[in-house]
Amino acid sequence: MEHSKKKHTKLFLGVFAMLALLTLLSFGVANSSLMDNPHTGWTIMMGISVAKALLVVLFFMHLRWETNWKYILTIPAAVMSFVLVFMLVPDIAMRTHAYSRTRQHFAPEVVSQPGEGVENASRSH
Amino acid sequence: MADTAHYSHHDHAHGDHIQLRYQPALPIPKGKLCIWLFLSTEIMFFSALIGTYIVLRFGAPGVWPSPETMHLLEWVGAMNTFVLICSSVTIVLALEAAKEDNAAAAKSWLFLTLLLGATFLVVKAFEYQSKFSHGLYPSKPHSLLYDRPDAYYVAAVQERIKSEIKTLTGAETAEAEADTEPAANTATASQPTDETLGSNAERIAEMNMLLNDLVLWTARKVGQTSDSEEQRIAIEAMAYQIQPHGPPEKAVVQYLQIEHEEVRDQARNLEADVAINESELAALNKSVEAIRAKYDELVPAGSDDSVKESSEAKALESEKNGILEKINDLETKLLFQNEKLRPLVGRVELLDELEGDDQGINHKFHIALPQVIPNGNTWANTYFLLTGFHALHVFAGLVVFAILLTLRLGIARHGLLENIGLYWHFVDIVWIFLFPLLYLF
Repeated sequence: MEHSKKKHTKLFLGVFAMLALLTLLSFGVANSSLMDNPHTGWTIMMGISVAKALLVVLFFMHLRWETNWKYILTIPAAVMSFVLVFMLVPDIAMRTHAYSRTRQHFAPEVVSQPGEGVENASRSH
Repeated sequence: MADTAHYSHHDHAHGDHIQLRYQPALPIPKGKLCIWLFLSTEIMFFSALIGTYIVLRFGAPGVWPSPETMHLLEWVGAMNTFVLICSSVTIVLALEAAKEDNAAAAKSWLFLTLLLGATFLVVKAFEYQSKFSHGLYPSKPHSLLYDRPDAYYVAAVQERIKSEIKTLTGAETAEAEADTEPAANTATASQPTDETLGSNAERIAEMNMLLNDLVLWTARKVGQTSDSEEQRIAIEAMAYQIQPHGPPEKAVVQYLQIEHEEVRDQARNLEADVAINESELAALNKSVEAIRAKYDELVPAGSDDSVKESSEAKALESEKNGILEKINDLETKLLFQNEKLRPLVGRVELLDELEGDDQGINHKFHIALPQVIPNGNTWANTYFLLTGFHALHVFAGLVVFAILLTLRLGIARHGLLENIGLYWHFVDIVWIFLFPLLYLF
């Protein structure tokens, strides 16, 4: 057996309550503090998502009670997924920062000046 | 090797050769190792998809469409998240029951998991339906989304209305009569033919009004000005009238207000002119009749040429011809004026009908015309791609649940249940990340 034979039912229900709470929390964050600064809101929501995922992985997937092989599996996978995404951010997510006037003309909407960021773009509104 | 040799002291029954003992590389069953390897490939798969969404969303020029615009209800997403979390708990409890050899409880918990997963898919189906009914599809030809208010958009709206008219009339005359160039200078109305069914006539009239007073009017406006900003505002105004997405641009509101007043004044002035001309025409016609009467009096039927050649008769004749010429000119003038008046009157009628309407033409006339939503196509592509693949994974999980439910889920099968549980938890984790990314960002 990978872990002790005692029942973990109470623990699982506790984790479930925590997950439900975190879902409500992310929903609440989305409707409130996002108004001030979207970046903070997004970071908080991603943090909440990571916490929820950790709860599921550790307890529901029983990794808390597994031996060291879990690190070999999870850590490279997690690192690679983050690296893949954030490697593409400068090339694609920040592409409008280097738009020339001509390129802006063909964009669906008016784009911000380079470096301003999409959120501060001078919208047509 | 030396270790195994020591071990094998116990197995000397077969002779002196070394007994090799199987040492598992990992202290877990093979099935579990396999499922974890599969999950790591799934991590790669969903990282690619989610990563694509993240970079496209933040790299999209301009504004990303709001959930309201795309008919996305955040609370439905939150509810689906909760349903999936519940299903995660139930499958864990099923595993616990199986480990205690409580096969009946395990089966009930698994069945509950299946139901919750099916609920998730049903809710997702409703969500998809609400997108499709508003013309939000992942790709053309069904997608009604255009990113910019430009000539292609105007042409698309025109095509849509004309095809609607075509289906209604069932005739091809509609296409032949109306102009196909968006920047045409005059519009020719496709009048409903006499073959139209009585019940469709009203609808066809509505569609013709939209075609002439909305699309072709805008196209003419665009063709008449060379200022690109004015052209953009004109098409934006049309897009706003078709389907408003939130508060409109100030310039668009101003443009519509000013145009309404201007066109109304123009129409009124022209109508007054036409009235004057028509009364003049009537007067001229009357005088022609009077001259004809005089002529007939002077030159009764059957008179010989000498009476006809008399100077009086000739004078009357020339007077009549002069007036007939004036009548001709006036009639031509009236023709042009009426031709000019028709689109003005039509436009005023349309604007009057849309006065105070904030739901848009799509809603008012129960038609699905193309809409302008900047970055709308990117939104639709990524949304349907991510949620579609996730839903497929959920469905695959449900199929496996259904198969497992036919077996006895006792202690002997707890490994199998554990493995499918691992897959199901992974599917849940993917949704835990998808929910804020798609619904809340």
